[in-house]
Amino acid sequence: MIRIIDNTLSCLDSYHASPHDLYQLLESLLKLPTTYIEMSASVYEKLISLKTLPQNRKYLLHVVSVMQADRHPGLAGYIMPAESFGKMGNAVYEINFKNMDNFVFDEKCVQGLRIVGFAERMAKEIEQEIIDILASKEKFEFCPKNDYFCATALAFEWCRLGGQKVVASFAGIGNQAGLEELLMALHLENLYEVKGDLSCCTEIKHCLERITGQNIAPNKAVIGEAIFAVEAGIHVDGIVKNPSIYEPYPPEFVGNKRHIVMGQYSGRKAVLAKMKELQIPGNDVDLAGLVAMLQHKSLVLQKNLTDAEFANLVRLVK
Amino acid sequence: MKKQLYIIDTTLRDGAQSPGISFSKIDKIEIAKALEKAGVYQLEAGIPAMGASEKEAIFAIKDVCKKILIATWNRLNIKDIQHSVDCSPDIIHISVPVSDLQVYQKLQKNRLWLKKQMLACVDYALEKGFFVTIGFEDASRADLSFMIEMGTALQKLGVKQLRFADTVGILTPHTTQVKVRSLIEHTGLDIEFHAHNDLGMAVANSIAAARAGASFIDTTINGIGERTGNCNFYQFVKAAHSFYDIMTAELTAQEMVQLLK
Repeated sequence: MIRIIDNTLSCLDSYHASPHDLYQLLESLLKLPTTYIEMSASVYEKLISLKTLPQNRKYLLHVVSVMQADRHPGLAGYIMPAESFGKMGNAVYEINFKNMDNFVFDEKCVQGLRIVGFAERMAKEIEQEIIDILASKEKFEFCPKNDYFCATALAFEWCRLGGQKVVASFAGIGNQAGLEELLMALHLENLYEVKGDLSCCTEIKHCLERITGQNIAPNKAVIGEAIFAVEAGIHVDGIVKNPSIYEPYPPEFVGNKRHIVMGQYSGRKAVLAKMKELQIPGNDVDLAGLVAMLQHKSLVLQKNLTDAEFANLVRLVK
Repeated sequence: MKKQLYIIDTTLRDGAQSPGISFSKIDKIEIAKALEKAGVYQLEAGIPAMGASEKEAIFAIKDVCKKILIATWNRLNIKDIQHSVDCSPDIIHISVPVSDLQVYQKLQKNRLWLKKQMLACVDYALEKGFFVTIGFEDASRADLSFMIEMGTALQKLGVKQLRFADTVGILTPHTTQVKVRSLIEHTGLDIEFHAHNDLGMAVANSIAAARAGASFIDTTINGIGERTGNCNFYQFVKAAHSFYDIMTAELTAQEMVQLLK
């Protein structure tokens, strides 16, 4: 069984987040189908200053030392750097992939080892490397980094090859695998059960944007605002016939909506579809003329036309 | 020795057709010049069937770029290809929707029609003396044995290069590798891999395709493209250049990213 550790709340220490915003983020992250929520000690302290954590969920604490862990007893587990030795039954040590060979694992001391890094391995025999790691007796969990833009793929491969615990963060914050991308990939490959849908992603995204003060790119996989916008005639034609022709999954599944955009690449079919959407009757419109004007106008403006601009154009042609 | 990989940039086609992006003729020329300077092997300059302004831009690009190969994109019909012929590009690229979903629901035809139409179009473009490449659209959801049948027919006609398009971006490194490897083994064609980033795996899948034997990788500047975009040129070069000979310098890649901003 795959168990996913969401460590979004471990990756926010460099932002000045209010306890209230953090609590809201926690509540929305809990709606995702993950097993553990991991957080840094400072986030944990802020959260409990507001109120206790929601019950019946498993929380992990990311600490820098055994001493820090001792200050906050009672959580489901502790993640700490490998150097901070000490006997703790439910601790997981973090080790950089590059230093793995000279690390001695003591089962009496720790519950498992978290491999951090692995970013540069994508162009190597990663399949065999992962199989070898999983075959060794230690209990490993996997937290790939995104230095070479392959973290989600690495996390996915780990799960596919039988790895049981994997670490990811929402939107890949902290240079990691994108939690929402990983969930979507596992869902599409039927490797992990996503009960219901992932529509809470929109809410999580807004919480995260508020905390970081940075907007998520409109074309970001799974959570980008504009990923279901379509302009090119050939794509609109397909979408109108059957959305799955040009969509990997329905937009509603991630709380988004598809919409047709009018621009330089819109053809006759796209224009007809847009007029239908805006409920503009089309029988007396010179379509070829309209398409030519639309292409010219968006070329001149160097942008797509808004619905109002498009409706105006139709009126001109009529 | 590192294996050679060739970059095919589709910023001016898949990139340009994505919503919110609109390039002027001058933008297009600047982008094409930058791609040439970076040592990119081929660029997809546009879709001539779109009309006069698209063709004008393609002519202008041809005027300034002499080293980079210039390809034009076509739907699967003779009329589109005639528009391309007008532009006399180095390469005529014909897109063949190959999944049953695309064939039966979008084109509302059948496999038999598709094969006949593909061979007729390829024949036409070859007759006119062009180098022809074919793109299997939605290849990731298509029947592998049907693609092998189609690919074998292409190979007999003299086509050498086949694009494998993960049109809706649902592949993972493993599925990419299995499919690409099988196509190469059974058809002997050179594979060009065209990723989309719907699962955030465009770079990883492109690397997986290269590992499986693909020689050509499609990219766009800043990773623009339909929906979540295509494989990001800079990211791909950064991730793969220590393992592959990509004919381009990291520094120039960064310059290009700057250029587009």
